Amino acid sequence: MNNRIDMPQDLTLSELKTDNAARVETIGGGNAVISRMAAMGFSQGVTVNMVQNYKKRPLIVSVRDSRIALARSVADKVYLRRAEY
Amino acid sequence: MSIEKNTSSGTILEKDKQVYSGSDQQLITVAIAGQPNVGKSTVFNRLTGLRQHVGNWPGKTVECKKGKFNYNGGTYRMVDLPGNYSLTANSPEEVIARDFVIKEQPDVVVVVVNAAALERNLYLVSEILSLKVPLVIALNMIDVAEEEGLKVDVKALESAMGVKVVPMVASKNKGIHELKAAINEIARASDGHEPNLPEKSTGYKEVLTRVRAQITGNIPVSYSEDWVALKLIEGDRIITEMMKKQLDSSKWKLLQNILSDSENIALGIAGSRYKWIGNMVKSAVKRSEKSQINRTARIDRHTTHPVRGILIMIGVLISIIVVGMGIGMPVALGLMNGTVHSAQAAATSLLANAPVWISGLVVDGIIFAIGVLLVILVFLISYFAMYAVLEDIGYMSRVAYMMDNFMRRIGLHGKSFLPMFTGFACNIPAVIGTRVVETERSRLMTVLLAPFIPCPAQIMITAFLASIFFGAAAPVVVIALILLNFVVLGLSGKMLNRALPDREQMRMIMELPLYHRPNLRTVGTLVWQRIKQFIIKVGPVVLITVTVVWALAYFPNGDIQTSFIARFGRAIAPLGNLMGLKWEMIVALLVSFVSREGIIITMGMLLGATEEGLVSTLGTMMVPAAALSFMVTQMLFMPCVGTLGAMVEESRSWKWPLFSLAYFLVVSFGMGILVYQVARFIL
Repeated sequence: MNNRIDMPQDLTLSELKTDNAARVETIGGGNAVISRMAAMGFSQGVTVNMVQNYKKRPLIVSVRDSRIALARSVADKVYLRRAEY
Repeated sequence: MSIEKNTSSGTILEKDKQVYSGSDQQLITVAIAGQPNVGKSTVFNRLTGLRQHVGNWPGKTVECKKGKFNYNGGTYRMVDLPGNYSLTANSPEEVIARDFVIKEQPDVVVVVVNAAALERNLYLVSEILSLKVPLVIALNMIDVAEEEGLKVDVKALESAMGVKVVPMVASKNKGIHELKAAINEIARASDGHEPNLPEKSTGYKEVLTRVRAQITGNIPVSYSEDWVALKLIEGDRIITEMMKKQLDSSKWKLLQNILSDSENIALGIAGSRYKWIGNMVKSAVKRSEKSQINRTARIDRHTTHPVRGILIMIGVLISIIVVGMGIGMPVALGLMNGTVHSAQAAATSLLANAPVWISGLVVDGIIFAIGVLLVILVFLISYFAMYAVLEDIGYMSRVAYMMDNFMRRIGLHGKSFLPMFTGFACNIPAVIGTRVVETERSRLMTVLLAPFIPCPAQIMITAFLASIFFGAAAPVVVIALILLNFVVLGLSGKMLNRALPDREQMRMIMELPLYHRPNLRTVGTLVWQRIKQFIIKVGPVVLITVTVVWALAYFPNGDIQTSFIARFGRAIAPLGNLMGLKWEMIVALLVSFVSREGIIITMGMLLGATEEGLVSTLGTMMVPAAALSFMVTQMLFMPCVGTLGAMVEESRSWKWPLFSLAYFLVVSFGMGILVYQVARFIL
């Protein structure tokens, strides 16, 4: 989790703006959350695209040709690296 | 949740084996698995036609469909496994699916895969492959994939995976015959198939070895060491519990240390699965860049928008209620005033010479009961059809997304919202409609809470009394009482959420499927199954209860004033006193268990008043505070017999519905007493 400070280009999935894409760096929240996220298409290095990110609302992201609705508290623990880097 | 309980999924086939054993045909068991939204039900329906049986998994509220088809002289018994994204124990559905595959060892597992989201769908395939069962992939929705710019080279995918792949469009009946042929081929193949399994990446190999060292020799039969180790690392609740029982405490401690050191190692496991998937699809999937945004994204801009989305949702909800009532009400009235009346008249003249009580039993008991049941069925058909369409086109998930934050506050899921809301039209389809709720716990909660939504009959009676006692303020009173129901629902939800075990910590991670046109066959099959099940399971309960209540209000003297139910009413008169109510009113409440609409008829009969005279009789026999107390109690009163029957059927238990019955009685009378005791000083 300290990664974020070392690499300023990192951001969490909740911070990704609509229509922006980034790669998943790591997923926090423990192995049970990871395995559930993995079954929905999330894994290290996969590109996610933000479809909808309204304040305080759950997010809609597109990953591996699927649209996934995510609670913000889950997305807060998904760390990304901008695709441009 | 104990392991023993889960093994009970095994018993489901035992009965079948006896049924089938009469024939000397070779029986082949085929399990059909797949993630949600892949058209699995459509594939299942196409394979088995209407030769299927819908029930529940033993001891579970999870639906279990079985069916069969004949091919090439053999009989294939199909078992539809619950839809799930993976085989890790995130939900009872996932546990059922994997227990079935591990313990029942089906001859063939068909995994239905959505070609338009192939990579994610292959994740489940990679998990099932590791259970080493013969497998066929039904690559469904290839038409949708092509619309989305994805073309799958089936031969390339087949040779990469080493698994038979059948391309299909199940909704258009394409590929069904080929799938049967493939199932037949795999079932009869003598040599084991050799699929390409995901490799273990070096990232977690070491941890895996250490975990295996702790558990080796202590694995229950039918499990593989590798698989158990993997599930332990992935934090699987059920497998962790199982191994805790299997291991002595020192080994268990060591194992826990290894597991807690390997945090986030599940990321490595997922990574290696997706790496394997990447290799599988690399040469098999061709993408054409599509510049235009697809239809689903365009629609979602409106349907999931914080403002427009809510407006659309409200529109849809109102339409559901209006359409359902618009179809249901006239047909119901026609049935009751027309068909049932003429049947009653015919029976009366037929039984003119029979003893009075027999004529009463047939005319006012049995024929009336059938009428009640028919009316319920009319409502059910229209609501089931509308739910099925909304679910099939993909809109149900959008409502769930919109309402998730709100519903979580009372321990429910977004998906509980829509069926529950339609309780405003009738509580029975609301209870049965909770089948769209994906987790067992949340479904049980929704089933138990749904009857707090007042149905039209309850609102009508409240409005009737409010107009007598509160004049111009009547609408305010009615709305306030509906809101009171919501408050009680919310508080009860919070309490129930605390009281039930396994509180869900997991926040929403939900797929929003692509929108597509409703498939009439899928919708029709679903409605037919639901109705059939209701008639068989709940129908007799309704018929018997309505008849019994008639008898209680008729015997011993053929007069309701001196009937058993009236005696009971007089006996519990002290309860009525606390609410300022005469015993007649309490009896009317109790009779509303049979049908809400019956309240006014019962009051009329007990008070000896005609419908016109009832208004003035009621006006003089109660003070406003008592009337308010009656309205509150009536709005919160226990579910009617049809709803209760549906609750028993849906929760697969008597325990919970009876608990809820008691709870509703306590809450409704408690609130009634409270309201009277407070209101009589104010009003």
